[in-house]
Formats: sequence, structure tokens, C-alpha cells
Amino acid sequence: MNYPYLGAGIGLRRDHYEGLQGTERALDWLELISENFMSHGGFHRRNLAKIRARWPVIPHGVSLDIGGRDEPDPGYLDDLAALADELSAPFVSDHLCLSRVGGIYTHELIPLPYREEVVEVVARRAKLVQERLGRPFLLENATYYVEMPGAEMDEATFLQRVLEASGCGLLLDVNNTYVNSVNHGYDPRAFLERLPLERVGYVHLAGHRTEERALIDDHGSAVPQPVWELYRFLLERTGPLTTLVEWDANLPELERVLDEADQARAILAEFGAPQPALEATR
Amino acid sequence: MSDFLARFHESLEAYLYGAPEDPAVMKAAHPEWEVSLERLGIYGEFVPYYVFETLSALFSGARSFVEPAAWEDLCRRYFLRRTSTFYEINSLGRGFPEWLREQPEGSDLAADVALFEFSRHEIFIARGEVPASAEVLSVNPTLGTLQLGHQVTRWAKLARAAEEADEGREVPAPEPGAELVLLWRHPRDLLANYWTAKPRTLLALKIVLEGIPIGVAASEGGVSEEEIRQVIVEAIEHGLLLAPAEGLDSV
Repeated sequence: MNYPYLGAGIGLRRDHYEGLQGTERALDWLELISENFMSHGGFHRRNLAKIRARWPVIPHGVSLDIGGRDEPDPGYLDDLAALADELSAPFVSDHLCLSRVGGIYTHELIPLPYREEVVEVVARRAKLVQERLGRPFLLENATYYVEMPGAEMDEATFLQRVLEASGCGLLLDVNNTYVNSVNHGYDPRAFLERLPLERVGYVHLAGHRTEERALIDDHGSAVPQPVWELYRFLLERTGPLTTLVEWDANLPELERVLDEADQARAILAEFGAPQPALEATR
Repeated sequence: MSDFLARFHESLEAYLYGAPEDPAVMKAAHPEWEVSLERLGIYGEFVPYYVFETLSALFSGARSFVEPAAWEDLCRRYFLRRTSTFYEINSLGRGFPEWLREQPEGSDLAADVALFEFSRHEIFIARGEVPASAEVLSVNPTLGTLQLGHQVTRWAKLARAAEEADEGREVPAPEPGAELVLLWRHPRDLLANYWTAKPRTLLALKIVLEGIPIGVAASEGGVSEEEIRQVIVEAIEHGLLLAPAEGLDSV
């Protein structure tokens, strides 16, 4: 599957609506959190329309619950499909995790047991989602602070198996890879080498915080050096990939987030990045 | 679903929504599982925290009328009621004001403020467009009303002014007393506006809704036509009424 190359972008956050509409800085695309727009009208939608007039905007979800106990909520899929259509999104993504427990949305990404039966559940649902949305669907490797019980395989094998069985693309979060490698004591480069990198549709970069108990994936700081290094390692194997800088907690001024996207763009240029394919989202 | 997966989901639910402070509850269902309880505890900490954070942001005013420790406890108990049944996180606040009214740590004051705050939030995010103008003078279609037992709108305006001035000055709590609140989305900035429903504002709304000639309304209401016109002009400026694009004079 070939995904359009969109360049270096940032996550769309409410505090930046105004700054984005006035900025002359380089920016190739934006990613929004689907759930923050799917059911909203008014102020958020008007700002989205203005921003969408300047840049491609792609939806990225947190609550699809692809691996949960229950089947995906049809109302959720209807709302997501409508948003993806409105944005002419070339692809849509969510996390390889579960996000409902006992029918309740956790708003946290809960890891899945690495088992073949879970691979089958996720693959079947991912195909349905892709069909319902009428566009490629990508799954993101999520952070996990514990390996859930009953594991029959490791994380890399689980990811490989899900991608193979579902036909989905991979949204490769390099920060998550780094955080997981530290938390679970493995080599992140060896992990990347084991993934089907030809399936990577785009890349996430972000910061994390260090706690005694674990590295916490909080998107609350600049992309740290080890994550930039891992990003370069990845690009050496794949060539330039559409890249997105996420920043949620401790959100700074827009300028600071754009600095991070600039850094990603400069690295992408070193790897011979082409012009972003903006027509793919029109 | 296999027996294992059924047990996995049950144990996760028993932990997160039964005893989020005790990850051993989940581990006990999987004796063979080698897991750090400290790490597993991250989920039992984060999932309720999002509810705390969301309620605290949605109801920052109501929160100011509850003791901090009591607020934390209220949020924890509300979390255990499993109210997040919709994918959009702020929607979990929908039943909170009425639930708060029934709690020992809550009060009618805090519940009234919470109801006001959530009503504003719902008008702010509601789907649907508000036209900037109308063919004939019309009531803003997003208009809603709220009957409260405290004078909340005056407090809200003072609190907002204090926040904008960033002076940290104390704002007196809303006085007890019935208040009918009008809430609507302004067609220009799309923010949620609110007014206390004064008799003249209600008269202006009645005139527009029922198409009563201003002269008739003035003589029946015992107010001057000029006064009614002023109220209508002000309501148009604030987006409560929508005027034809060519202006009020053509009405």
C-alpha cells in the first residue's frame, strides 16, 4: 500500500486555532483527534473549516476500541466516516489497544493480550472499519506499561500478525517504541527491524516524562534526543515518511510546536523528501 | 470469545471500575501472570484521573463551592458510576449536576452552578449552524432556558471579569433566589451567551415569537415602543435575536 507523502505536521489543538490562522511559518499538514470533532459543531467546526482551507487535516482516533470486548459502536463509525469524508482524508487511524471496559469509555489506551485469538478479532474488525470508512485504516503501536496476561507472542510479532491479517497500515509512533523499549528492556532498533516497515503510513513523534516506575507517554514536552535518533534510524531504512509531532500536556505556544515540525522536516529533507502530495487530500 | 478472553475482560473491569486503587484484583484472576503491580496500577490511576480532570475543567465554578478533598471524593465516586458511555470525554459530565445535588458534599448552590456550566458547554459544542441573519426577525434557534435557585449569571459575569483581569480577587457566591437563565450560541463568535430573563427581554422574545406588533405589545405591556425597540436592538447585538441582513428598520 502506498500512502501519500504529506510532509511534517503537528496535532491540531484548540489553543492554537488563532495562531494557525495567522501563521506564515512552514507547516505541511495537521492531525486532529477524531473524537474532539466528530460530535461537535459551532466554534470547533468553524475553526476546523478555516484551518482545513490552508492545510490537509487527517483524523486520528483514540476511542475506536478495536481490540475491546464489544464490537465497534456503529454510531461511532458513522460519525467517524462523516468526518473523514468532510476532510477528504486519504487515511484514518486509531490505536492497537482497547478503550472500552464493560461498555464504558476509558479514555486511556489499554494494552491487549498478545494472543492469536486477539489478532483474529482485531483483523476482522479492522477490515470492517476500513470497509465502512471507504479508505485505508492504520493502526498505531500504543504504549503499554505492562504486558497483559496470557501472552503467546511478543509485541513485534503481535504487530506483524495484526498487520498481516488485517491488511491495515501501520502508524508507527517512534516515541511509543522508545518508551516501550525502556519500560520493557528491549532494543528499539532491533524491534523496528522486525516490523514490516513497508506498511508504515506515517510516523508520530512526541515527548514523554520520566517517573521512577516507568517512562510515561504524556506528549508533554519536546521530542527528546533518543527519539530523534530512533527516527533517523527508521528513515535510513524507509526513506522519508509523513511525520506528525504530537504535543498535548503542557502545551506551549504554537511557535514552539512548529519548531519541532521544522526539525522533522529538516531531517526528512536529508533523506530526500519529495514535495508533500497536497492534492491527495483535496 | 474464549474463556481466557472472557476472564481477561472481566478482570480488567473488576479492577478499573471496581477497585481502581488495587491492581491485585486483576492479577488475582490470572495467577500465572508475572506483572508489576506498581506498573499495572498506572491504569487504575490514569483512568479515574481523566474523569477527575474532565469534571474539574467542565465544572470549575461548581468546584470552587466544594472543599478540595470532598471534590476529589465526589469525582472518584462519580467515576465508579461508569458514566462515560459516549466516546467524547466531556459528555461524561451530562448527569453530574443532578447527581451532585443529591450528594452530601454537594449543595444546591454547587449543583446550580454545575448545571449552568454544563448547559453553556452543550450550547457551545452543539452540532448545527446558527445563521448570521434571518429573513424576518427571529429568535436564535439555539436558545435554551434554565431555571436555577441561585443568581448565577451575575456571579458568572463577575467571575469571568476577575479571571480576565487576573487579579485573583474574590467573587461573592451567587445569592439564593430563583433565576430564569437564557442561553444561546452567538452567531458571530459562536460562543455561548447567557442573560438572566428580565421581563422586558421575555416581552421582546414573545413579540418576535408570536409576531405581535411592537405598538400593541407596548400598550398592553405598559412600556414605550422606544424601550421595546432598544431591548430588541440589544438582543440582536448579543445574538439572541436574528435580524434580516438589511437591518431592523425593515422589520
